[in-house]
Amino acid sequence: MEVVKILVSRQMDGYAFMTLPSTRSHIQIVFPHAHPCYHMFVSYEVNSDFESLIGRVAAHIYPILLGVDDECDLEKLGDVQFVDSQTGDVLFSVTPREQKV
Amino acid sequence: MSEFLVLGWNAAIPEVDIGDDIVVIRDENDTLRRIQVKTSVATLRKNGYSGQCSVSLKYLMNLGRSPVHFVFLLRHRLGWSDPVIVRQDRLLELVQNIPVQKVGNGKRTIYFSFTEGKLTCMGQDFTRHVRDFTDFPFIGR
Repeated sequence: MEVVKILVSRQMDGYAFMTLPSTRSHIQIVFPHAHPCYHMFVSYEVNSDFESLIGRVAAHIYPILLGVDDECDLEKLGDVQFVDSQTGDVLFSVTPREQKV
Repeated sequence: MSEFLVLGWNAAIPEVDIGDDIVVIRDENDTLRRIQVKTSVATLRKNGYSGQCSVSLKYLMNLGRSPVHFVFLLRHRLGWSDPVIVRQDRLLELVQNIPVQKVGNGKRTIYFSFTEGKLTCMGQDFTRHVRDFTDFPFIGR
C-alpha cells in the first residue's frame, strides 16, 4: 500500500494534524468501513516537553485520524509519514505492521 | 458575516490582521471557525463570468487549532456571486497538485469560472462548494 501522509503543524500550544482529501479517499477505498477525519489538534501546556513525546503519540494519532482501528487493517497500511505542512520534510515515519498500537 | 449570523453563528472581525478575516463562533459549545474572505472583480464570459483570487501559500500551509475556511466572492455586473466556500485541506491539495500560477509574495492564483450554473476551479468541478455551508449548520437562536 502506498505511503500515507499526514500533515503536521506545530503551534504554540500544540500540534495540528491534517489529512488531505486524496488521502481520505484512498483510505476509504482500501478500508470501506473506515471513517477518516480531516483534522485534529493535540494541545499541551506552553513550554511543556511534549515535543519529545510527539513521535510516540503519533502511533496513537494516525488510527484516529485515518479512522482505521482494527489491528488487521492497520497492518495492511504501508508507511505513515508525518510531514511538516510548511517545509514538506518528513518529521517521522511509522510502519504500522511493525508496531503494536 | 450576515450569512453566518442568519445561520445562528456568532461572527467577529479580529482587531489585528494576522490572516483571518472573520472568526465565526458557535457560542453554545465554543466551536470556532476561521474564515478568510477573498474577493475579485469578475470578467464577463459568453455563458457566465470568471475571476481569480490570490491565496498566501504560507497561510494555506499553516495548520492551526481550527482549520480555515476560504470564502471566495466575485463581483460581476449584476452583483456578487454566490459565496464559494472551500475548506483549507481541499484548497491546499488543489494548490499542491495543480500547477497554479504563482504571483509575488508566495501567493498562488486561484481561477474560478461560473458557466451555466456550474463552477469550475483549475479544471475541477467546484459546483458543490458554491454556498457550501456544510460546516456551518443552521443553529437558530
